[in-house]
Amino acid sequence: MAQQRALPQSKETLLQSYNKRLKDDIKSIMDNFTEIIKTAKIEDETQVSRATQGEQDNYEMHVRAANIVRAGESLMKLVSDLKQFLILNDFPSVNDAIDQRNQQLRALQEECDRKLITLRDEISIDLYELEEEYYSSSSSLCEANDLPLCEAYGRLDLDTDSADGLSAPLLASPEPSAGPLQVAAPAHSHAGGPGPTEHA
Amino acid sequence: MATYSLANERLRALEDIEREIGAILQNAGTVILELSKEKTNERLLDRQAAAFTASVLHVEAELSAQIRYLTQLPGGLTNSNSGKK
Repeated sequence: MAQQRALPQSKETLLQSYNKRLKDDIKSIMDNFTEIIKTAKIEDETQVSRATQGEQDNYEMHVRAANIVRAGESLMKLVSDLKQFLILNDFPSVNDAIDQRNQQLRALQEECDRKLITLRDEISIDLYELEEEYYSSSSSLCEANDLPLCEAYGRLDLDTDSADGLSAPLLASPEPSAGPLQVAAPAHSHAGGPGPTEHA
Repeated sequence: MATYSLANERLRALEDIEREIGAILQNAGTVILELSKEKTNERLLDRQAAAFTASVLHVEAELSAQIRYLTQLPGGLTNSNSGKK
């Protein structure tokens, strides 16, 4: 079990290499910068002529500056490798992020459910009031041939079973070419062709 | 996204380190440029050199901390079921 907690050999080796690269790059930057500053010092006594010494110093500074830039780029590459290692291996942080996201989405889901339930309750109240209004008004104005909606649709079901087809006289607003029965008919019958003949 | 802050916190820290590495090179360039002038501004030189050194040490410390964190991560999760039968 202790082995399962330790990093695999390859990962340990990789992290050790990261450490080494970091130390080497930082050392390179500091050393080359220090040497450039030292080279900038003007010396009175030189082994070669001033011009030669100047050229030598110029070349040395160029090389050291290039070394500093190379070490900087190597550090950037190291940071990129660390990012990649983090993304692929930092399971605790990724798991925490996933748990947080789950909690957030669950909270959102509960809020949506609450709002939907509230909406449903409000609509049912409005629907109840509308039905109350409709049936109270229809009961005062009803005629002998008029039926309540529920009974009208109940009659429609019976008529479709007996295969009479049209239930025009049963509808509140009878139309010879259209009606609720034709909802079950193929859609192309509503395209503009003569309705009743297709349902005969 | 706030939900990914934990996972992204370290990535953002690494991005800050990248920016600081760029600042290190820029400071080094400023110091060398200032040295190349006939009349050097000593205050600017000292300031830039101090900033360069501080940035280098800071980058080293931060990257060491990140590598130390990575060594503490649990590894070998795929082997967790290898012993079970």
